Amino acid sequence: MRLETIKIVCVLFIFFLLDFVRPLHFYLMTEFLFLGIVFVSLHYTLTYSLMFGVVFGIAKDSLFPSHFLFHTFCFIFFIFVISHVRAQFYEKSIFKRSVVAFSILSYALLNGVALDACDAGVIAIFCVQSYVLFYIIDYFLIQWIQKLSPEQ
Amino acid sequence: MFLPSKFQFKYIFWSFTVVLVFLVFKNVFVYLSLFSAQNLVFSYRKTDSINDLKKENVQLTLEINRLRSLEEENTRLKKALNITETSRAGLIYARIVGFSPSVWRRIAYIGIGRTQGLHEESLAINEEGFLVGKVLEVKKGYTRVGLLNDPYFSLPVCIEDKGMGLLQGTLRGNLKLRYIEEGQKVKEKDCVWLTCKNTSFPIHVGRVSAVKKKDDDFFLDVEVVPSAQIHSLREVFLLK
Repeated sequence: MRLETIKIVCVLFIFFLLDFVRPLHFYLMTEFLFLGIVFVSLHYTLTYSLMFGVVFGIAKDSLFPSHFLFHTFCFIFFIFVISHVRAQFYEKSIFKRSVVAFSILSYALLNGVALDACDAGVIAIFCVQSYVLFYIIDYFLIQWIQKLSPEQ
Repeated sequence: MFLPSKFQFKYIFWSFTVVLVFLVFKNVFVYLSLFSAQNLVFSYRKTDSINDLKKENVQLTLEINRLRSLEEENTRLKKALNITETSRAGLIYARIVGFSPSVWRRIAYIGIGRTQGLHEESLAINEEGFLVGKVLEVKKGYTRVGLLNDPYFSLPVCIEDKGMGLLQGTLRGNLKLRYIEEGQKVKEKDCVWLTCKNTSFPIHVGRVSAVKKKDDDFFLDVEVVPSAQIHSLREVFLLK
């Protein structure tokens, strides 16, 4: 479990750096850290996910001072929602696709409204790019994290 | 009536999905292709361009020396004729180290701060002299620069000699000009510019791309295309 924790911390930190450095500038309109938090919420317990959500939310808000702890509260909210839905519909595969799509769309709308930057085109591109990238990240990450863990 | 079979329906669905994904990621593919062409495929051209730049550097150094001597002569003559000295704009070069981690704000972080003489509301231009943003906040070791396409960006600008308006950023890239009246006779391709108190030359912002009149609005809906390439910005020059 400790090795998994270290791996998740590394992955989330890399996602945080990707969001900050933006090697593809704003051609790629997605937030990797949010996708990482959704990934952790889907595969790990509520307490575990909350810990990462709070830490990385505060890290992100330190570079986003105009709205006080906005991303921290966003992450906490989505972690609770995803964990609650996961507890109700754990075995159903449609749950994962639906909850990911709902989270991404809600996050986009929340940001657009809270930051007074609602743009349908930008929200649509953000949702589609994030949805596709999430499944790529999920496929490779889950294999890497679970394959190399000695407890498995 | 012919209906597609289950296999054909699946084939159509996946084809549609691939096309949709390609359309959404089109800009990413274009950027990656250009990046790899410049840095990986045509790297031999970089050697030629480095040699050309070295030659140009030497020529510019000689030109600078010549202009320096002219400037000294100019200063002596002005002093002799009691003409007041005009101030010159100071430029500070800065590399962008990162961006705001939120997709909904376009803020760049640069690695210099108050110690280099920066202050809030300083304008940022690119290497071609076009406006790219303005300084939002200056700290000791870093500075936050709001880019033109930040939705919170606003700046009073001039439209040729037809008056002034308020330039506002949008996430899409095209800028909006607010408070433009019909009587100002703003039309497409009009130049948008502004002056800085520290410079003697105008700073070019962009050109008007569309002018629309809404029935329920007193002012015109004017769109401006910025001259600077903001999407691929990696370095800025800040006016002191």
